[in-house]
Amino acid sequence: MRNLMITAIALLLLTNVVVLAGIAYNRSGEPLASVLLTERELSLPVYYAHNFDEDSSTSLHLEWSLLDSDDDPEFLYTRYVTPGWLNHAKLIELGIDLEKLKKDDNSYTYTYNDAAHTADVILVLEYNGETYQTALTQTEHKVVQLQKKISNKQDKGDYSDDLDRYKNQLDQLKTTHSRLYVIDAGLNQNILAQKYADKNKYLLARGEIGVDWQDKKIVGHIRHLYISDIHVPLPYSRRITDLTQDKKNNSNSIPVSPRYAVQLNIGQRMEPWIEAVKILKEGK
Amino acid sequence: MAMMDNKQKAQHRADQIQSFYDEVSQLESDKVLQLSTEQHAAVARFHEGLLKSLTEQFDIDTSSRQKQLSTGMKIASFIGALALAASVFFLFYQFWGYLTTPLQVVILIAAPLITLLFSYIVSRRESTGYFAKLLSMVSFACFVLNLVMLGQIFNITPSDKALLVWAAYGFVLAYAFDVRLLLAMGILSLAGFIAARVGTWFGLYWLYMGERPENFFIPALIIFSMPLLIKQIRYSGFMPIYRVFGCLLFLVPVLVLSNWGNGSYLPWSNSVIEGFYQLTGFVASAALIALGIRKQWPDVINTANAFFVLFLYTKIFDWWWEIMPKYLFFLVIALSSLLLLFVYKRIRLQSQLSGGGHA
Repeated sequence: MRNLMITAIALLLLTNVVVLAGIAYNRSGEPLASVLLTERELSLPVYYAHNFDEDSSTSLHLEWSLLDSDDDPEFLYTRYVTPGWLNHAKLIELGIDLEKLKKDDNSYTYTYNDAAHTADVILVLEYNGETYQTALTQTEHKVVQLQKKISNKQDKGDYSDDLDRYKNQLDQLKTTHSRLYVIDAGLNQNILAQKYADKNKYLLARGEIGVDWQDKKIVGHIRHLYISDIHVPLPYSRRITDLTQDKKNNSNSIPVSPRYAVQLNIGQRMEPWIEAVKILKEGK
Repeated sequence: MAMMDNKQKAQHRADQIQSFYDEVSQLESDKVLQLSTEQHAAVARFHEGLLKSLTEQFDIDTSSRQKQLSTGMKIASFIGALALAASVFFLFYQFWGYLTTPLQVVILIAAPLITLLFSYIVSRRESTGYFAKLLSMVSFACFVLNLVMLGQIFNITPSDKALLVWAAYGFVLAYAFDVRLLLAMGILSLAGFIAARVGTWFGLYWLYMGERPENFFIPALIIFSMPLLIKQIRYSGFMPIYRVFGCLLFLVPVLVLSNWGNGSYLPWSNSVIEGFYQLTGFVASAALIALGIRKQWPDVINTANAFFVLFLYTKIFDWWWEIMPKYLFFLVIALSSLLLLFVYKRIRLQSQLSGGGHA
């Protein structure tokens, strides 16, 4: 019994020492990234996804997007499309064996959630950069095109619904939608850190890429980021919850301009933490 | 006097003594046997001393009323342990948002240590062991909470190594306080870790280990073999736990794959994979029944038996539910059950004739 007790105590202490050492290492030295994001990119959880009565903690959800490679996409911001940079060359670079997959013509095995055809990667997220500007420009262009079609009396088509939709998308892109876009993926942290050296503009995050069949072609997609909910410690959590009155973010409410900004750091192990919170606007 | 090295053997000895008195009473009533007063007294003195010694050492039940109360205490202890563990989880979630990070870390690290020490202190003072077992369960829950919450607070990337340390802690507590429930927790955590590792070797993210049930075959073999490699005579009821979980970790994935070929690593069509695993299920469960009979492992016999019946009725349903009238379908089920009954009766008779004892 005595030996087992000593083993148990040693196991508890050693495990916690290892975990805390890992945390300390992650936060040691210069962070890999330190980006000032707003409520648009780090939002409060949606009401139905979080049991607020039983959990007093506060976490922020990392909102990100992709630019669709389609010439005429229906939506210009979504995370469920294949971005232009995630082509076959990139999939091969990330370790997906496309030749082997092409030999298997049983397309049923390529369902979106098939865990066998995935790669564990490092994703690069760009904040308020060229990709976001491209999304804005493309949506503005779409709105202008539709307005011209409506004012052209010879064109009998009904474009008013499409115009409303794209105008709404443009409003959201300008005021509430995330300006964080995934623009690249790789396997080597050092190479990516060197390539995307602006620490105030690029974030690195671990995630997963998968493949599926679309129109008889193999396409890649980003399945998820491994860490997408970021814990907010005291005293920052109190500042955010006081500001927003309660922690719920009702997705059906009228969108508001961002109320707070968060300094998000990414450490040596690509694990994030909140360095500071700045209030942008008081009240709701 | 034979040495008793675990509670199970001690309880069996006490039951033997009770049965002896019942049989002597019956024989005396039938006038087959008549012990003298001195013989009665000598035997009674011997048994009284033996039972007193066994009760002091192992806290066994010496009457049927005590047995009923013990069963009640075991159920209460089990429910109490689970409820207390759940309460600890929800208590922390309810209040952790009001605590600073350093305080959260201190509480998370201290909780399993303090409950472990309490378990040890209580085990030294209380002979039944129920309270110490309950506290050890709480300590395990606190350790799980420790790592889960540190992961959330510091946004740590999820890792399968947590399963390994939970398994190690579960095993240590199980052997320290003789808790079968903690042994089961340790086994499940270890199985999860091994399955996750097998999955990552095949390019799967570790959290998706369940999407490929074959990941559990290697842990099933390891866990089933453990009692063969490490003798655990002092720990009552531990060996059946290893064997039952070994069987479950093999047969449940086989059952899943016999109906869902898409989840297999095998490079065949779904219908071939499902047929293969249906056959494997029948053969494996029959082999385990035979092994259980040979080795006198009733736990293995019962588990494999349940799965054999499950495979059989699942197959019968697949073949005939759509094409047969319902009265005929259920008649076939009944006849197959009668056939199984006949087979088991023959096996039991052979066992009686060969003088096989019980496990």
